[in-house]
Amino acid sequence: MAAKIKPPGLAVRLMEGALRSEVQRHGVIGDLTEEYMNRRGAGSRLAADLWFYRQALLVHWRFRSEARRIGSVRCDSNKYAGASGIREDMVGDLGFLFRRLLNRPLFGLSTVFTLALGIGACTAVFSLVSSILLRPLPYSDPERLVTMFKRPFDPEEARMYDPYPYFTYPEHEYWRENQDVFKSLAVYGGTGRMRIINFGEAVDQLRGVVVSADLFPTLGVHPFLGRAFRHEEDELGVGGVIVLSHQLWMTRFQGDPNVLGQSITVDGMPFNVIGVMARDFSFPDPEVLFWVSMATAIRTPNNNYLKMVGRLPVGVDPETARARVASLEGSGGVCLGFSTLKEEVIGSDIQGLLGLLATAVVTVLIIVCTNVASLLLSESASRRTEITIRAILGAGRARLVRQLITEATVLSLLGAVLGIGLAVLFTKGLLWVNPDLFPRHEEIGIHVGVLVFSLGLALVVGFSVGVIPALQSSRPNLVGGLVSGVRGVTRGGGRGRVRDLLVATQTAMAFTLIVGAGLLINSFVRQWTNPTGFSAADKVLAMNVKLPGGGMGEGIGRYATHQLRLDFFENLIDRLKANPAIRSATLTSRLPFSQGRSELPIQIEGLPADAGARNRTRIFVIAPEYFTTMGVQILRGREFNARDRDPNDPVIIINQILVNRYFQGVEPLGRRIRFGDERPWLTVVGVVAATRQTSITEEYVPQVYLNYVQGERGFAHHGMVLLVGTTSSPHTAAPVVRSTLADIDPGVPISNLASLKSLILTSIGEVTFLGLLVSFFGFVALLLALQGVSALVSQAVTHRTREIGIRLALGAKPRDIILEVTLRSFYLTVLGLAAGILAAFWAVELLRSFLFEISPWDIPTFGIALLLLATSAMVASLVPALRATRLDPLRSLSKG
Amino acid sequence: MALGEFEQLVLLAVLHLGNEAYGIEIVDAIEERVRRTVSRSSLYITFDRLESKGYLTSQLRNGEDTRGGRMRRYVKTTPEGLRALQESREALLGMWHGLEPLFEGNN
Repeated sequence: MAAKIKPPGLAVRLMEGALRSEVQRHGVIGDLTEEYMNRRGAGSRLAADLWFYRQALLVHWRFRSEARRIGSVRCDSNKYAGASGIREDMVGDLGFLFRRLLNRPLFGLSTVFTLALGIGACTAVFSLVSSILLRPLPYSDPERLVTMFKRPFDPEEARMYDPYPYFTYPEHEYWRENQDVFKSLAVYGGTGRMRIINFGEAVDQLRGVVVSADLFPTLGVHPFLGRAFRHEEDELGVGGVIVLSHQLWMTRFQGDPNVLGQSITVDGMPFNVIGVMARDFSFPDPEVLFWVSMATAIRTPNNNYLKMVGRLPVGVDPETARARVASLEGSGGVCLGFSTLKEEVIGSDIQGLLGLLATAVVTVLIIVCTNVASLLLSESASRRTEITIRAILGAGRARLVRQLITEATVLSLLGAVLGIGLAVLFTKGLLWVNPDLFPRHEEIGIHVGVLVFSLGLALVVGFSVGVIPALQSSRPNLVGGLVSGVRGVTRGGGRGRVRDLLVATQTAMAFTLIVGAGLLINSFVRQWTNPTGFSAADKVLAMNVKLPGGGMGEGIGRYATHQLRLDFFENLIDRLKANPAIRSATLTSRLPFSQGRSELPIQIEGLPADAGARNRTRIFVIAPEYFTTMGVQILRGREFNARDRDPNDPVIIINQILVNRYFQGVEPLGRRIRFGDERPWLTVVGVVAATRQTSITEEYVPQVYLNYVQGERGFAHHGMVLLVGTTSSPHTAAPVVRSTLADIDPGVPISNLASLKSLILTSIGEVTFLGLLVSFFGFVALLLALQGVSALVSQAVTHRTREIGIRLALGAKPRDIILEVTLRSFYLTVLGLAAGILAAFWAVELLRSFLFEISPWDIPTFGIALLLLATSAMVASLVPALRATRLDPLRSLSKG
Repeated sequence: MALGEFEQLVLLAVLHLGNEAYGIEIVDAIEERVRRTVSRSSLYITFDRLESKGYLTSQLRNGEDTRGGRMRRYVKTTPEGLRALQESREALLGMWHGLEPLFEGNN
């Protein structure tokens, strides 16, 4: 039995790995096994096993360290001579670096992590720039694609109106036939929500657009499966056909090729599937999941809802095309203009945003580089003995510089590897916080180009942070180097000056970022507190309510008529109001603080024809109790009530801005307003305070409110916004609304449920986002700069330990010592701040377009940033300075 | 080259044990005479160091069944080892000379 007892195999293998010779193995493992057997015989197995494991670990560790000790002596003596080739040098340098990093893990980790932060932030922003600005759109020859707008042909009038990007179908037909500038013109429209009903029972709300047959050829794309639209399918009365996106095909039809020819119901109308697009195709944005033919599209001359895209022929430059198209006058006295499709997709704001982000991350990178350079510089100071010995043994200066730069580059590459990981998190974080800020956000990611950029950046950073310490410390003072290595004398002049410069640069950069963050935060607060005119904003819940039908299915289904829809909404509002948690309930046509608006010029009865006619007035459709629900002050007259139902006596409410601008002292109540010669007159029954509801930063504009009950065809559309006033937190109303709706008609979905306050917050997402981000960078920069200042003082204290010890022993006052060791950092902070003010004056210009009611050179913001940096730099240098005064004179002398 | 204290203890234990000097016996000999625990790993490292200095030689001989088939490493002090011990002893005695009264009564 005894023969079967064995010591733990793992422990034996552990020792075998560390013991090199047979003699060692027999001696050590044999002895320990023998002792293990004795212990097993005498006591418990557990105790014996534990004892054996402990011995094995100790043996492993001791023999490994012994081998390393012997090995490193051999390896270093080869290297000191500097006689080997570059490749061997490199391998030797790397081995030496890794051993040093293992011995000083804190130095290694902090350097690599600092570098990772700078390189990671730059990589993340570069991935945004490359995905949004540099990558071509996924269409054929995308730079020749343009998006059209129309404007008055008369240059006088053109100055007064914004270009208008929507067209009617007859306009599209007209321009398709009457221009020779573009190779082709196509239209698409109705990007709002639609309803798709599968052949099964499943019902889904999905986005799809109506497109003309020219669209796919204009974009230069073909379906991946099946065929594209044909021209005859644009005609009225022809059966509707549909092309699916790859995503829709995969998710709803499991990629079944037999989907071609099947029939799908969209908004109650049947459509035949004719094709499936390729995986990477999307138009006009990735949320659009299908495209249907024009067969059922609205084509009346009043319906401006189509957007037009065109393709320029090869060899025609955009400027020539622009001039030619502006000379063609179309019907209604308009002409065409265009911008490139890429401009339309990425928008004009994003370039400013990315420019700002790039500036912020480059600033962070500069701080990181200066921080790491000064870390390496002080590290090289502690390696003077080693470097001097190498020089004495014959290593040339070039060899020493090469070694130090190799080390910095390796650290930087390690930083880049970690940085790429950080960049992935960082971009995901940015997109998670606010995806809508970034066009093409679904394409954003770390592509191969981004990786190449990141590694290239790491090489540049490695060289830049390595070169100064390398040049500084590769000029060893052979005698002083050895003596100082042992004794520690005061700082070397050249190295000290370079380090001072680095610390001052960090302070300057940190100041710039903190000023930027301050301005953005200030701007955010000003926007957030800007009055909207809605005094009940914190007690309103808003949501979209969508009745089945509408859109393409207009005129069919259980809510086909205006009266049916009105009955539904009035019933809903009455039942909601019966609940004690609900203060009031009303409807409006558009979610507040969302994109889009309706504007028309007005005519005022009895006033000169041009009063109001030149300027568009913003129109809102509302239900009774709107102003009560939203907390808008009624200045004169009343709001709509249940008695305002007569279609022949329509009423209107206007805001104070409109009164001020056009009524010229005339009493507005009882006066009539209309939107054109052909339209009916509406009587003014109330004047309300102005509100901001497109953007919180806009000026107050003339607004009119129409009653959703009245109007030629009525304004109770299939899609309305329900506004619920609550007595407490707005979200308490959500379950009430859901259950009431389920009671009335479970087939009516609600979406975009949000409190009015949160809608306001979302609308200022850009400045919130930038404020957060630049504050984060500013914070990191501040920490790095403070670390630089603190390290500077700390090193001065270490170097002068002996001197300070002697002076304290001789009775010097601690206060004088503190003043003396912090004086240098004080000067450097002042120098850095002075440079920072100059840099900030230039850098804040970039912020101008993101600021609201605050000057980029806001003196209080500059002052606070100055104070913050100055005081924190003082604290950072005081901590090590206090250490100096607590030195025990005797100990510091013996240590020196 | 001067010997460290532990190295002296090991060499002396080897001399005491004669032909029977191998790991476990040396541990026992030192623990018994000096009354302190001996770290096994230090002992084996010391074997290698003393051998590389030429103060010890080792020889592998078959051991008991309980060694898992491994042999015993028997060690022997070389004449250089003896000389080094002698030098260390003289150095210590030279330093002790004249100081005995200081420690009388303390033992």
